[in-house]
Amino acid sequence: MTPTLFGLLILERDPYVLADAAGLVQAWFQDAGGFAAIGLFVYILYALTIPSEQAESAKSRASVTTFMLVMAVVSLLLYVGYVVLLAGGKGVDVTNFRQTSTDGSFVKAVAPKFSLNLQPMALMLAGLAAVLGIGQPFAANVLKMRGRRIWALAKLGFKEASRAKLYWVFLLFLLPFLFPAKWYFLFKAENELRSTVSITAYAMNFVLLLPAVLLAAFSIPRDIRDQNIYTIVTKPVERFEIVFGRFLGYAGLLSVVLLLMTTVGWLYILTTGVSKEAEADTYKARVPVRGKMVFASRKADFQGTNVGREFDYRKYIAGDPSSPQRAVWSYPRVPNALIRDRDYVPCEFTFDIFRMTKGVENRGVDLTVRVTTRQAGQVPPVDQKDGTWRWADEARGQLYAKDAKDAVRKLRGLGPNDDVNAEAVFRYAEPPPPGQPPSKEWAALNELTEKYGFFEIAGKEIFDYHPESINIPVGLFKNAQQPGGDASLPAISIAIKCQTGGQMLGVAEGDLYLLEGQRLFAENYFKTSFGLWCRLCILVGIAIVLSTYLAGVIALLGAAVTFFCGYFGDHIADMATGNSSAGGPFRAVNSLLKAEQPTAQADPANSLAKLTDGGDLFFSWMVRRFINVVPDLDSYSWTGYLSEGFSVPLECLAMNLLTTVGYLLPWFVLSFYLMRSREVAA
Amino acid sequence: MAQDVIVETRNLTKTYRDFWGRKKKTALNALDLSINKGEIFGLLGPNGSGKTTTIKLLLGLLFPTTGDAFVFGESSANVEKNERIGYLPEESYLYRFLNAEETLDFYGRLFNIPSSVRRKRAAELIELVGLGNDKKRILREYSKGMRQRIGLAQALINDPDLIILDEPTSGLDPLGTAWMKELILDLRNKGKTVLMCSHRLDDVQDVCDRIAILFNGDLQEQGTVTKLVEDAQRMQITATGLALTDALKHDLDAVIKKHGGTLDGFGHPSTTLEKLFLRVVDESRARPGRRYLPPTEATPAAKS
Repeated sequence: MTPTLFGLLILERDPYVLADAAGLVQAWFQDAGGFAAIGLFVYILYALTIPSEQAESAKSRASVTTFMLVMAVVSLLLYVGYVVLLAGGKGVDVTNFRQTSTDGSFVKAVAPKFSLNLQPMALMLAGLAAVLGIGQPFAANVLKMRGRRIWALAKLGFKEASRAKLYWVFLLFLLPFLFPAKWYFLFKAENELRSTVSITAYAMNFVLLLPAVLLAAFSIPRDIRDQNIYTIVTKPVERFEIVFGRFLGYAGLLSVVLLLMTTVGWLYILTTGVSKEAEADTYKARVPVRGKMVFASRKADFQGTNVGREFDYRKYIAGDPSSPQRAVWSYPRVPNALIRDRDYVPCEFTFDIFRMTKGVENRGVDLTVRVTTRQAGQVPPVDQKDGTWRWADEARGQLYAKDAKDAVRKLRGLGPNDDVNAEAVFRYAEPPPPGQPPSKEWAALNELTEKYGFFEIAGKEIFDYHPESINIPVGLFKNAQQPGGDASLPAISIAIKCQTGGQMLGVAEGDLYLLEGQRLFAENYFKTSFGLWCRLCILVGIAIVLSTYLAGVIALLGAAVTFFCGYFGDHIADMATGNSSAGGPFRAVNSLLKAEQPTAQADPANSLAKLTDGGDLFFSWMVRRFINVVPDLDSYSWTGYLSEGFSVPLECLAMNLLTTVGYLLPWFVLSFYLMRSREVAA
Repeated sequence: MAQDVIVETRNLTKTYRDFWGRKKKTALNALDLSINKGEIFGLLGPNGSGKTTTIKLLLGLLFPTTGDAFVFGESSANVEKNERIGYLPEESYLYRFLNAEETLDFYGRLFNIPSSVRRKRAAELIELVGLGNDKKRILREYSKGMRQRIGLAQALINDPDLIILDEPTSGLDPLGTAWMKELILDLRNKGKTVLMCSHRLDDVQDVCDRIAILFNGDLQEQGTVTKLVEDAQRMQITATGLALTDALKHDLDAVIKKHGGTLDGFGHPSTTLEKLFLRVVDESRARPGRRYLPPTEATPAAKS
């Protein structure tokens, strides 16, 4: 994810919400189940090869229950069924965790959807059976765990770190506050809070993650080296309790530090204050209602224009009064919260302007924002020179125009034949302040939108990357809830047109939203830390699990590589799917040796090119196996939300917790088997 | 398995292998052993004989290559058996950043002992091992002997039925050694079973009911201490109230020859060095002050 220079939340992917839970669980059983199946089959094969004269203790350590055997057989049969379906091409639609979006969709990755098709179901059930099989001894062990023992081990880790005076390291976090960045860099006033939040987030990541991995990777190896572990495993302590206790201890310690750091960061902002510009832009926690965006024009396949910018997050629509190109946000339904106790719903947007001509000095570009419901469906113009979209039901459109004029005449006390410009009158209608009755213009406009489901603001001037808003009468949303209209249309559509000629308007799905309300910045500040907390838990978990079998340094490297690969999830996904524009490593070496451009097309007839492509294919296959082990760290990043003034939804944090548990659970099962098979005194 | 057998090994073997699975060393070879309830059992042997390996196998710190080890009738792999075991390792491998109270509290929690019982028992044990004045000091500041004492306290925190002591007198001064031996005997008197291994033969001889001698992983001897140390080929006569005169020697020689024996020699029975040390310390405590005078000072006349 490329950081923006001027603010505005970049949403290349939608955060997970509760509605994604079923799809994620299915994907989890498919992925984790695959690893579980390999583990289960290897374990059973190992157990079956133990000679009968072997020690009883050896047999008990590798005991195979009937349940495990049954689950292994069920899993195997389902995998065979899956292969048959795959070969026969039946029941396709495999749900992948890092599913790439469909063409035309703006976000690059979407949450997996629960699928009832045969292939994904077979994969899921096979995985489920394998998870149950390999998880049975683990679950039995978990039932034997006792809170008092786990707490003792957790407290030990806590005391160990505090008595080693680890807190001195955490005091490094205060440096950015002692030497504020604004002493060294010039920020625009509106970016002050963004910079503070970003720098604080970087500092917290650095100061917390580094000690976390160091603490966790060396704890169990050090216990084994110093033989402290002798005095623990000779007590009635389950081996997994040692792992879990250590995990809780370090996670608890780091949680306390994280809470303190978050509080310090918040107090800094509270006590030093923010500029008025920053306060207006970002010192808030907006609750947006986001829609799906598509491009629309006379041509049905219009996908927006690429203006050649390296950062291809946004696509562009041409600006001109005669341009039929639109960026259209659609909302399939209207949340009730948008209608309750309000006169209007703010619609906020921030766009990029790509200037083909110099334009007018000190002038932005003008937009037309048209908001419609199902009852006011719009169609693109047919005439090549016409850029105005029309009502699908022309008679209704004419009725609207007539009623609008009549409403204005009534407001102005004019006669039925007097000519009026309804658009100009309603353009300047302002919603009432809270608790005040609405103006006559606003009341008329509201009535009109409620009746027809149509609202338009023309000539709205915007500047490059500067947040702007319009107020939509609540009547329009009431109209959207009424029956009638074209059921195939979304409940609400917001179409943006750029009116200024010679300018291109850059838009992305996250650039426009309806504002449901606002929450407290302080609340948002603390919620943002939850994502970092999840990351900490993941890093501590991986490091501790690896350290149950590997030496401290190797565990440290393994955990660090696995974790930090998560920051390059998109790139790894590209490598796994073969979508990397420069090919894989084999082609890259070939290009390097032949001094070719990385993006040069390989000659398909060249045997060396064939060979490198084959190598890259194998590499992609390898990366696909590895990708499921890499944590999806992007999904835990909320700093952008905070720095841009957007509220972090609670359900997204709940999903963070769910995915963290889902990610750590297979690691913990692995640690259980590793610890059980380890001779701590060898 | 008989009711009163607490520890039993059957053909217990441990072979260490290298990375490639090749045999490196057989640390313990087909050990058959049984330890009964209420006895003090000593494992003897030189370094590398397999004593500590046996203990580690019993505790589940190592896994047997072949054979089995049972404690309280359960496999050594069973974690639940540890509820009734107290273990003092050779070195006191405790967490040195904890103080004595915290150490006992930590290990008490591992036994899932409720808070009130844990606190009471910890206080009693700290007094028992004589660390009442040092209970707030972290273990890093302790001497080796003090660490051995707190190590013993942690081994007793669960009031175990079987106490396994690996070199229990290691690092202790003679007073501490005597105290430890008394404590071991006291534990036996309370019905506990003790398995200990030591290099200090006098310690073993003083407290153990039965011993096993290992050498190079093989069991060489096993039996009661009195039986094993008895020299059946020779006889000792001890008498008091007699002066060792030539006439007495002549008469005794005649009697022994008459019965077909040979007189090897005469002398005064000696005490052990430990008993001498303890006597000197006790007397010094009773009457402080210097007692020893070098021969030159004691007999100035002899100089001239």
